[in-house]
Amino acid sequence: MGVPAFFRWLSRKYPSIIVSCTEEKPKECNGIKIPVDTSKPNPNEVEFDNLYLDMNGIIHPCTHPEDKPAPKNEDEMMVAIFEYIDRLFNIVRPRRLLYMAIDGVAPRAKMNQQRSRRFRASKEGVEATEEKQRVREEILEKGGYLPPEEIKERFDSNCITPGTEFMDNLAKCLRYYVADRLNNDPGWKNLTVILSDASAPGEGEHKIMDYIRRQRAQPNHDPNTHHCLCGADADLIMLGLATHEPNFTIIREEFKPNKPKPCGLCSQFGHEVKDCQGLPKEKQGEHDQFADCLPGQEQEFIFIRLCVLKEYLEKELTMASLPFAFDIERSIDDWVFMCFFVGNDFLPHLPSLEIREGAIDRLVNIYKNVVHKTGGYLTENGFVNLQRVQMIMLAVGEVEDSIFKKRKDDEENFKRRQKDKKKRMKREQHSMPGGQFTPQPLGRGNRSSHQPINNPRQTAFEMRMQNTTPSSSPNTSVSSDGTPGGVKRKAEDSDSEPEPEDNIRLWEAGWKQRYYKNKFDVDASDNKFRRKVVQSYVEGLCWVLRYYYQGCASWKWYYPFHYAPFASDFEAIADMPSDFEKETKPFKPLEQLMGVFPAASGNFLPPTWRKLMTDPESSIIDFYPEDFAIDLNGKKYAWQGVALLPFVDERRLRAALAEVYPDLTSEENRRNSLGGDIIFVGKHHQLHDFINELYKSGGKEPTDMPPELCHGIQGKLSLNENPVLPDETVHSPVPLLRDLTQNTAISINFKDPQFQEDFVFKAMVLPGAKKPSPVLKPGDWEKTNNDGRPWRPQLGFNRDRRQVHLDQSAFRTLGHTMSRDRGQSSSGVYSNVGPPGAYNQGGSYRPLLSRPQQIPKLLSNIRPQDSWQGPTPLFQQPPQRYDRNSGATPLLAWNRMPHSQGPPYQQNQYQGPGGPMNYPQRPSDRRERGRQGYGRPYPLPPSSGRYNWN
Amino acid sequence: MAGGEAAPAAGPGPVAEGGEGKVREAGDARLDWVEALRGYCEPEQHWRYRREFLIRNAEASSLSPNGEGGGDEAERRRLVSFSMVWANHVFLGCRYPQQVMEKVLDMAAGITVTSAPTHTLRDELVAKVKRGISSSNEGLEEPCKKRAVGTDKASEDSRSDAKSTKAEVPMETGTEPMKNVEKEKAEDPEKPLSSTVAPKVVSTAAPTVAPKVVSAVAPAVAPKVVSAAAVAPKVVSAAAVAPKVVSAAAPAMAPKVASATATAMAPKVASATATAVAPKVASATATSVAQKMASAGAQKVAPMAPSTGVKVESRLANYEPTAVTRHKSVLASSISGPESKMNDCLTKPSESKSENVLTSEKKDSLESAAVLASKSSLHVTAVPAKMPLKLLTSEDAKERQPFFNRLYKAVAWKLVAVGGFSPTVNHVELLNSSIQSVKATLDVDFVPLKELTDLPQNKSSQESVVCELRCKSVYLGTGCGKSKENAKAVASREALKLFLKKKVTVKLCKRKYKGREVEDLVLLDEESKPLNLPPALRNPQEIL
Repeated sequence: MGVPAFFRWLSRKYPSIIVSCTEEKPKECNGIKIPVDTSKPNPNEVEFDNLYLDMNGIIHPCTHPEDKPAPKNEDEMMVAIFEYIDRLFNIVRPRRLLYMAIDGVAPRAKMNQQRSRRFRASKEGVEATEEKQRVREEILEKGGYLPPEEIKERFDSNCITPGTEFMDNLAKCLRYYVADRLNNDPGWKNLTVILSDASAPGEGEHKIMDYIRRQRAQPNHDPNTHHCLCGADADLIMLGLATHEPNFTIIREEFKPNKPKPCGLCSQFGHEVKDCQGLPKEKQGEHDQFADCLPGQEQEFIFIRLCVLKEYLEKELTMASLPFAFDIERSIDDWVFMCFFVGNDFLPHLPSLEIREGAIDRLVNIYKNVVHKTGGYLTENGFVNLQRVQMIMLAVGEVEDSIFKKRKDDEENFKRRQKDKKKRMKREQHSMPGGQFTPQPLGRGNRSSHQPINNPRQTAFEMRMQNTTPSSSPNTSVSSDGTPGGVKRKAEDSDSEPEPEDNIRLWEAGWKQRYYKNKFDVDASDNKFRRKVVQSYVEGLCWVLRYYYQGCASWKWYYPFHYAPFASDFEAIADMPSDFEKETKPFKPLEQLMGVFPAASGNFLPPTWRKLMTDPESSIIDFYPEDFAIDLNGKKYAWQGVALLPFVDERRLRAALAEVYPDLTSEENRRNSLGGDIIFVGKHHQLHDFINELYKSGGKEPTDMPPELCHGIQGKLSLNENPVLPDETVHSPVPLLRDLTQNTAISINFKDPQFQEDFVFKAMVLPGAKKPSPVLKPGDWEKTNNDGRPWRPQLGFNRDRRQVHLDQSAFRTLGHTMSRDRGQSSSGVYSNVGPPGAYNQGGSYRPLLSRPQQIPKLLSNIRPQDSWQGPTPLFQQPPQRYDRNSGATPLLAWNRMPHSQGPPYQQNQYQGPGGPMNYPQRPSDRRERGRQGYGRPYPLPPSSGRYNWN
Repeated sequence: MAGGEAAPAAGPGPVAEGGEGKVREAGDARLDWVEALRGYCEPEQHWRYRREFLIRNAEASSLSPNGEGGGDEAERRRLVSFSMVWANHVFLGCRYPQQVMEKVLDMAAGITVTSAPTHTLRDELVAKVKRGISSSNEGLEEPCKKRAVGTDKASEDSRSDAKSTKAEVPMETGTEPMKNVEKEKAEDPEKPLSSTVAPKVVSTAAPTVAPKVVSAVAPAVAPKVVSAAAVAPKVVSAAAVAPKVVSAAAPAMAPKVASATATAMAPKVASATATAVAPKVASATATSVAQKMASAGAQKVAPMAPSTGVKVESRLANYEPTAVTRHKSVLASSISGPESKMNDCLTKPSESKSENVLTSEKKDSLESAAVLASKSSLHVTAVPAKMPLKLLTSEDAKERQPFFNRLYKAVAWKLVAVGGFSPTVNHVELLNSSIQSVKATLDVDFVPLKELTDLPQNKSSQESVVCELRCKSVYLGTGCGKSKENAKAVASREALKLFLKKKVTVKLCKRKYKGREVEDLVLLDEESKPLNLPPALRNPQEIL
């Protein structure tokens, strides 16, 4: 989504939507890597049906990674992509469908954003190369060492656009990849694979949405399908919500800020190209054994559970006493719509709505207030009710002024605090914190050091104040000349940061005039023009919403300005037309390239086409400026600013291209054509024979797919000219990988079910869909739980999941290192300190006491290797949260066992608390169990103040 | 411009695409085809100018008004394209390849755009970042792109809200200001005069030139110019023009142009030109012509031309034809304006380079405040006495090193005497006395802050002064303040800071001057990065 920081805001506000991924790593035995068997149950304790991959989110990091040195050639990139998909597959383990969607030609509205990105990327690339060159020469002059310069062409990431040769190759490689996995990987045995490559028009994520939407609309769809969508865009969350499917999860990489990036010249960490000095790398570990594996460096994934988000939204959006029926699904649609106001890929966001300022909360509040007057929801199935939207907008418009003022105030405060902090930092470089913050030596039985800090914020504030006051005087007293007004503060403060120029000054009166004058170059009094802007914006909102709910309404529409109007300008919009031209067609891939590439990336186009970008006599030369203006628009960094590029006129573009179309070679013509999706199945799949028959009969007509053969998926199949066929060798486009000589997979063209032009896809939960069990704490938990049981949050997909525990080998290892004989006496500094008593909130964990009968059963069934068997609820194995105070020992298996097992355990019963070893063990392992003292009632920790948390 | 009034009021249907709508409107049938070309989202003003462009050039190339014929079609398409190039350039701030720019500005000869917006070009912005204007990110949590491209600098050229200058349009020939003048709506009685002169010049200039037409001159220019003209005819009153002025001269101006213009202007100038290095002078003269033109006094043009011409010429005489990538600024200050353009200019062959430089510089001079006008007059007299210019080289740096070592010692002792460096020390005095003790002089230079948009400032301090200190042509420090003394104090303090480390070195570094990188001798201590130097107030090359 065009909203930076949207995901961060969302995950902070609704934290439980995030679940960490458990990833099973391949084991290595005697130097041989044993691949993971993905047909086994998913270690995340959830089974997914469909996995959708937004391939561009994979292609970009694999081809030009930020945190690793770049791959040397295209083949390496392809292998990297394959490995990444494998990794995702391992985590998610879809059982029914794998859908890979590569971005095709995007709607015009998106092309403008793409154009801006590519123009900028092209310039940045050139600059980076120049800088590298310059620094390289410098270093070599000074005698530093650099790896020999590979004469490789800088990878122009602009080639990741539909229509280029690169994308064509990628499609071929992916076809090979799918065939290979279908043949060899057991986890792919019954999988249906659909590949929608760059020749199929539409953005990747929207092709996926289209697919889901259409499947939902046909009667064979399983409403409880568990979808998993992979992608990093925040608007995938919106898309997921818009489907109204009850089980929808998103998987994405966990974003770790400030990750170190290797230097472009010497591939080492710790510095950038401009600081590179060609020094040898420092050894990590005595023999540089830690070199490549910085701990924690590998990218982790997280799941985002949309059902939990829906629970949150239900709580938040529930409104009482409405004049109409409350429907949470409609409310969610409205929420999605309001999120578009703070930013999306197709429209600039309104100046008064910034996600960091809580714009969405503000909108939701206004919504809840205004909805009584609106008489209904803002949207329906993706169509906007303009009258009602106007009310919301005008309500925002009323507070626009105060928003701007507050923004300015916050900025000022922030800057002031930063300045103060800097000054303080400078002064306090060698000062130790005093008073209660004085560092104390550890141990020595120093009781007083266990006191919690008293009123930390106040003390810290006082410390800051006392540090600033003495030193502030020298600054203020300087006045080297007697001029009235004194020396300007800024002049003497050599650290002061220059301020970005701001002509608009939204916090001062007259901001509207200045904005329109400055940004649009019209007077604020030019109402006609303003109406045009507002109208286009309203059209835009309608278009965007339809795009998410119904599909692309018009492939040609775009917002023709670089800036948005103000919320207060949204007057009388109810009558504005919001229809779009029908029967619009997307651009062809090469046409799209012409509309999106700068002249510097012209090498991706056929020569006569390229000429149109640079020839002064070209009739479209105005589309390709060499340099363009950037308007920071209140932001700090150039990449955040608005690039003022001229808009491409489609008609003129086509007219100019009409002349050079005949020059295309047949290969180029092929790349220029719009294609469709391809479906792949392996030999065990039920559809395999059906498809085989189709090929044998050789019919040209598309055939309906029998949904019962394929988990309810419906569509039309038609023969592919270049299919993967069983018993035909599949050639490998990557030299590193071998050809598949014994192929059994088969592929065929696939087309989504089609509907009439005016069909409306309903945005509702389908009948038969079961809502997943709630995850969040119910609002009335305290009231309904009279025994004061604490709420235990659910950490994963399974409320009853197994807790963290140690393996047998781990206990053995610990046993070797820790002394057995500790008894009750405290020997050692930490023996009196209990485990982190997070659960020591009083009260024992009663529920287990009421289920003693579970224990024998589980004992007999469970063996270590069966631990992954499906989502059977494993009984809880809570660590010692209970009984510090009460002393009652709950009846748990491991607690009982020692009594009945005999001498070996008796002795161990009296083992000391054994501080860290309070991990419950698998009950089946009786022999070792007694070693640990878990289950023992701990002696109460000394009554140091620290642990009196009750 | 009645045609422009009729807005394409067609409903959103046909223009739902948001592209250019072929809107028919009931206007002059002959101009119907033009009206059809208005963009849906083109503001009134923009359309007016573009329409002008279209009509003029259609007539010029005798396109049939009904646009028939296949060949015509291609012609028309190209015409539309050029009109868009020009409009994008003027209103959006885009820059196109050299040839295209030339052609388009040529075609736009005679069109003046008042109050076109200013923009910062992307290359500009990045160059600013590179200079390290702002290094800290103030704890922003956004991950930076690979290059820390952004800084706190925003569009630097927006000087004032209401008025703006087309900063990036390459400098035009001298003809342009004349046209500007001609178009201005100032109620200046002298206007008619200038306008009568202007066409004449235009006609002479146009055929011989392949220039670019300038665009924006703010309305404010006119009154100022006029008044300035009234005040001091001799002065390069162009300098008196408020900071919205014409943009820089075209990069690759043909020498002929200038000379042609010059001859049209005043024989004296022409001869002056002729005597001096021909190509360069040409441009210089052209610009000087520009200046004069802008001063809105037609009759004043002639007398001024010579003066500027002389100035220019003598200056030119100092240039070495080839390796000149720097230029002396006629006036002490540099104006923001077409910095990137100048970068552009500088990449051209040396001749044109110097030309452009000069012209842009002249244009800059147009933008400087009245204060500079006086300065320039001073300079005018001072100029002929200038020594031949030579490039600064590292030999110069080495020559000066021993001197600065001595200065270092002197300063060190003085600091000891006053008890160390602190904000309370009288920096000016200390620096001065140290320098005198090693038998040298401190060169001080003042410039009003307004002209120096290179320097990142809080723009609300419009009235302050910037001071630059040099000694033996080596740059020491810059400071700004409300008054000259103030500025000097700050600059002295900055300079003294250099002496606080173990040693000082004289180095040849790049500094920003009028938007370009210029080599300068700079005094550095051990730690200061040569990249973060404040911009130069005067051309370092001319200070030798």
